[in-house]
Amino acid sequence: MTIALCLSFPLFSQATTSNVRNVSEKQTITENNTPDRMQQQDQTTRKLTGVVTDKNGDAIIGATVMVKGSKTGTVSDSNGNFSLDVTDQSVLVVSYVGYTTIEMNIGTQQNISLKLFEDVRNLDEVVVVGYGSIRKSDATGALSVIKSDDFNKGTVATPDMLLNGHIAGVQVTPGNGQPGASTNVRIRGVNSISASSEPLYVIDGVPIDNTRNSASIGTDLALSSMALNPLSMIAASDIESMTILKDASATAIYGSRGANGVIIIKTKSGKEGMTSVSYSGSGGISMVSNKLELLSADQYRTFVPGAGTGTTDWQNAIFRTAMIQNHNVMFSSGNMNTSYRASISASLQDGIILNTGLDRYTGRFNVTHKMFNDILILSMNVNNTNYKFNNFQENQTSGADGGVIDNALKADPTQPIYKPDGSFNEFSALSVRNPVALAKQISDISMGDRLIANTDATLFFIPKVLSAKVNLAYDVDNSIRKAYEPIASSVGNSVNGRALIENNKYSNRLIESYLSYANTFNQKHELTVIGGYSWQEFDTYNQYTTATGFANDNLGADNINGGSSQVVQNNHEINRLISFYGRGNYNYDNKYLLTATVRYDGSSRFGANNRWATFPSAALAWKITEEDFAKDNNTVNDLKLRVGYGVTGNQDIGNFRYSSTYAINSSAGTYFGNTFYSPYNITAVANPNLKWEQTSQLNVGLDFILFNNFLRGSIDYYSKNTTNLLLAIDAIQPAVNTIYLSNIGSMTNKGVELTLDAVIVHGSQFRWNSSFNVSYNKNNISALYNNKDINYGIVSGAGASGNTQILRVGQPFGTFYGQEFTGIVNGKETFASPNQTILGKALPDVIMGFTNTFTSKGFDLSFVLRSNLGASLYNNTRAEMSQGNRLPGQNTTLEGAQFHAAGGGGITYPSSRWVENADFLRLDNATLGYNFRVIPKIVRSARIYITAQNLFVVTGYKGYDPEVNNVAGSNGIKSIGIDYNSYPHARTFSLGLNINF
Amino acid sequence: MKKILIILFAMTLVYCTDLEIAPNSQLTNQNSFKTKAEFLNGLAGVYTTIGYWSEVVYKPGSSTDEMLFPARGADWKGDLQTMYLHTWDANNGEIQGVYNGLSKIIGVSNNFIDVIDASSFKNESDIKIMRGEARFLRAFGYFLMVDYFGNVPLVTSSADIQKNPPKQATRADLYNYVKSELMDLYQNVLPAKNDYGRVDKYAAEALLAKLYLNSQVYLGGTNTNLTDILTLTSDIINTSSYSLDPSFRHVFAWNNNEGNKENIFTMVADSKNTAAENISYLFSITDLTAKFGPFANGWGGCATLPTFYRSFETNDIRRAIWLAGPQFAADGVTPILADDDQGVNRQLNYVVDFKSTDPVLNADHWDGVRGGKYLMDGIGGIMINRSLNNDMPILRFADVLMMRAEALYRQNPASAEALTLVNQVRKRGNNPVAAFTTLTDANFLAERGREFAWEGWRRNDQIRFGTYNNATDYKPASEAFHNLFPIPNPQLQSNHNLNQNPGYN
Repeated sequence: MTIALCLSFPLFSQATTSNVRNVSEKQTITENNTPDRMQQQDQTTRKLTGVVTDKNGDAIIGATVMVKGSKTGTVSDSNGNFSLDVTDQSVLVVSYVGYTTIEMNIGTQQNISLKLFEDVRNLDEVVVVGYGSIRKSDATGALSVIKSDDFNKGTVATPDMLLNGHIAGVQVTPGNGQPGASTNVRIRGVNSISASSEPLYVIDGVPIDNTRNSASIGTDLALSSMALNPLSMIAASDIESMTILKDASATAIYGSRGANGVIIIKTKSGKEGMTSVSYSGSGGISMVSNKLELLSADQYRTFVPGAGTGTTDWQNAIFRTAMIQNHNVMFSSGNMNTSYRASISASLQDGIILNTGLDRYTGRFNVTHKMFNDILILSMNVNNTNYKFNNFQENQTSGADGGVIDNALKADPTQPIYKPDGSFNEFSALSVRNPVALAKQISDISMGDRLIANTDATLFFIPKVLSAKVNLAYDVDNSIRKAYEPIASSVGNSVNGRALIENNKYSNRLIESYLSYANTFNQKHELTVIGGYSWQEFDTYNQYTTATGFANDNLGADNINGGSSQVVQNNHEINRLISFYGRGNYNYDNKYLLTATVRYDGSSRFGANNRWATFPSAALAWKITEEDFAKDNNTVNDLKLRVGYGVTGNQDIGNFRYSSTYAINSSAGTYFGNTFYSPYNITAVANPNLKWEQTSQLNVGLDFILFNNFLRGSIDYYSKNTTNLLLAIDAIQPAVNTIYLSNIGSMTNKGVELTLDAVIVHGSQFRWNSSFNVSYNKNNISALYNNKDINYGIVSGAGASGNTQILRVGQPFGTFYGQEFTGIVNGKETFASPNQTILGKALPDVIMGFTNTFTSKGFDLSFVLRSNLGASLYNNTRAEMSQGNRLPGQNTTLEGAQFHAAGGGGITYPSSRWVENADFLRLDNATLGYNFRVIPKIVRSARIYITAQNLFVVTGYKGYDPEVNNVAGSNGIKSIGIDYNSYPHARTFSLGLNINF
Repeated sequence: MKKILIILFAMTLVYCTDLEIAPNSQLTNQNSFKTKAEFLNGLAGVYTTIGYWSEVVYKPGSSTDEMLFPARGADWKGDLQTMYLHTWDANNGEIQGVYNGLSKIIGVSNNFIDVIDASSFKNESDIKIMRGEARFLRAFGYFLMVDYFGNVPLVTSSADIQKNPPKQATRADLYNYVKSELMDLYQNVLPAKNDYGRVDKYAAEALLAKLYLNSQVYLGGTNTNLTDILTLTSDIINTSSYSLDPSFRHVFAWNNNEGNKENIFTMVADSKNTAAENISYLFSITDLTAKFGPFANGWGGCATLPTFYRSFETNDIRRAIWLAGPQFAADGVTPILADDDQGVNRQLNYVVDFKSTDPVLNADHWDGVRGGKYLMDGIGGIMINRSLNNDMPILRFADVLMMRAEALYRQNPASAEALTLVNQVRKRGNNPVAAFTTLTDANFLAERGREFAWEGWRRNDQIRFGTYNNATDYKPASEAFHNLFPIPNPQLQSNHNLNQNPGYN
């Protein structure tokens, strides 16, 4: 281990620093009355009865009443009443969703009346931020928190989908509808052109790496190049909360990884005094939410006189009603010293296309142990997910013959799927493959395990004031992908079968330590300081073996050495990030708050001249309603003004890109005489000045609670300026490569975010919570190399050439570019001009989410509506389908058939004809649930629910779905907003049960 | 207890600031060329850059009377049509590709030369030869720069030029540089015999003869190097082991590397182990699997022109390099059926005269005669990475004979030796065509066309014979400034020392 070579050095051991405010998870109302646990054992038990009400005296049904430190507990009935075995020393803990949890001593009372107050303020909740936690009311930066109760319901493959629609300024776009598809999460817009724009994910204090490569296999292999989304390896049911850090003052503590925002995931842990066992499960079905309209068999016959006599709907032939099930068993317990939570989950999600799906089995164990009167706190979190990802022949970006979806859209609807002898009916010499055969014959399965484990220790030198924490973590994702195209298949036939084995291992190790100091002086000056060091190393190993020429299909990829010719490629890379960081929070009289952070990052990814970088930030907040003139105002209950500024970076630029190295590739060498020599091929023009991309961000925000606690929310304005964007520029020649990487571009993002939450009705019989968020973002490219346009967004399909997007100064990222289509005249497309022009943009102006929850008498109903406005999509699928030369032989749309009848042939791909408005309004999620009120004594709570996901989408977009993002890169730039044969989105209905013991 | 804990914590508060990491799967200058054997791998890396020759064949080639890369519907639509029509400008992607490809030959050679100069092995004789070979390849890159672009920077070291852009050299400067390099190489550095696939001193002599043959094009005035050409070619003819292969077809066969006597400077190709798509794009073989086997694969867009095709007499055995007319399977009897542009399934037929009314910008997919020069002896049943086993000659013995003949002809159009040499090439392998009795510019150029069709020299020949700007089948006449390509705009923008060639501003 490299670290062993480094000096051992008691860093900061003399520092006068401290801990984040030590805040308990619960609001303790009667905190001075904690009983002596030693005496409690001698007490005799007796029956206690009581009633739980709200502040108006209305009964609260289903409130949890527990004896602290035991597993004795119950829930209040339909009249709010409960009864429980207690002793005089017992402390009751009473909680209910949406209300402040209380603790109360019983003493000798036989009958007790407990009043819960609505937790409308929610401001004293503690949120996890980088390297510690703070009260939300003390936050000076722009951050949002979502707790598990508010997560999107139903089956989701990745945690980011849990928060979709709930957080202003966060746009989550699924790549497509395939289970396990990659998602694009953009916090406050796109921040990079050629590096990643994905936020940093931090799970229980461990920054994880989500970069995944997919095999760069030859186009002839034609397998999907989509890697499984690595976030899908975290079970949704294990997540307690997610904190989204949006502005630079919040993210600068993550320095060179903070520019795209940070999502901090906290997993559930055991609670002191609570023992519980629970099962939650759901089962459901998925079906395709939308099909494309093609010529029916009868229509086809009118356009193609000699066509067949059959009738096949090829889309129906590849789609299916897919089964989904989720199970989770959890048990947790805790006493004053040790608490733990263990869970196992199974998520089995079939895809709506034949032979696709994602199965996951997750085990998680979180444990915390306190020693020496809470001087030493040890904890460990271990998570392993075993997954099986069943991919399909996607082939989105290359090959005229296409994949499953492409062929379902072009297969002749008058032809049968099977020949009379039961074999697949193949369409020879027409560039059409039987899509059902493609789906069924080709196997492509990735299986792997992802282990994320960390253990940390916190030692208090001065209790509650000065502590040191050490965190060690290991994250490894180990997978094997096996794919086989049999000799019997149309794609494997000409090469006598083709196999792929891909071995991937992604791991990272973290060693981190920091000191925390927290203290209050003269009751008015509250100071919190942290300072630390972290070392993280990321290791990537990929190996691909392909082989062709098999004797038969009996063993497939498991006998890859049975192929007559094998090609092996592998790559191993390591990169390291070393950081020093510090943060100070100063709070004067709970009115004025100051936060300052700095991170000094060194990355092996940067050029030798720019290895280290400093990322500072500062923020101020003013709690206006704490001032005497604004106190105790019933219209403005709470008001806080925040201003922050900071500089963050993006180091997700790939490894060794500053350097000139030699690659040795035995498939691109030469012969001297009859001897083959592998060449040392120089890869790139070196740039020792290569560095991170840098974003400076100003944020001004206002948090408010208005109208007697009826409405709370916040509004933020931000302005981001990203510079030093990495671009491939033309190398001055003669050089060893055409291009050269340089930090040369810049772009800005400016926007406004508004979040509103209201408890519209809050009676004891009926509650209605409503939450709305809207954000506006404007992206603008402000500098490029020589301010020269860059064309990207390569178009796909038969006869396709050119790019459909442009990077141009003054235009946003994702701008569509092409000819302005004016109509079809005499079987020819006509255009306003032979010149290309701006045709729209892929990024939305406005994203909105609207969540409503209704509760009454055990029933609850919630739904999430989501909308994007101002975005366009390039409908590459429709472009390819609308060609006049699809007929005869390939199916088409009515548009394409009419074009054919008028004598039309190929179409111009980069044209406004295919750029469509992608505005939508989607009912993402609707759930109706019921909490049983009469249940056996051993059951603490029981709930059943039905959830519908993606119930409807209102859009003018003509493709499968307006939310799609095919990965099509060209000129080193990943395009956004191109839809080509995307796996359609599913509509899912599921029925679930949660039961708690 | 507490003290022990504190010490334990202090020990874990380690720090380390080491960020030096080398790639595991690639070499850096620091960890390579430590052993002598590695220099052969380094040299192989330099030789792979001449794989770019395969693109030279069709990019500048499609600007001549021997080749047209038409748009066929939406297929192939792009800059290749402007190459044929001589309407290219400084944004033309094909021309940029040529500039960058040649620059890479130069840049990679510079790097290897500097690696050798920094190495302790630099004085060993075999390493010195490798250095000479890299200098040859660099001179070859600059020779083509002189031919295509005229005025480009002369850079002979691998020092970083990105922050200090080099100055532009004149065509005459570059000519003199290439000349002096090649003279030193053949006189002092390169051996008389080297491995197949590596250059020897005769390659330097042949390339220098080629440079001299075009002196008047590069320098203006009249050619003062004709005698030098005779000296160089006589040395190759008399002292080297190179000779005319008795079989014209064998020169381009898939197994043409073994015992090859004709190829002096060769782009080595192997379907499995050399760069992908090295030759296959030149052939229309996707529809011809019945003729060439199930592995046949290719781009299929490129055609020759009716006039050029008809310049081959019907009894010329070299005419068999073309795939013309109705196509048959390997048995020569079974018609190959395919869908035509109207969707009708019928016998594949490559028509000589383009049927389309817009042959350049919207040709029919079956318009035009296709090439099969490297395919005629089969592809050995192997085709991986869409590449072929056939090596491509860059300079071959027939060209040495023809260069000598041309120098003699230019000294004296009635030269008997010139006529003998041309007929030696023309009648090779008992080719039944009639021998020439006189030489003219027209029949000389046409003979070079038949012998070297689609071998990358047609533009050079046409400019030297003054026919490059003429109107041909589907192209109007063009202005003389097209005899130099423009410096690509990306280079003009990134290197402000550069001025554009005349006619392109």
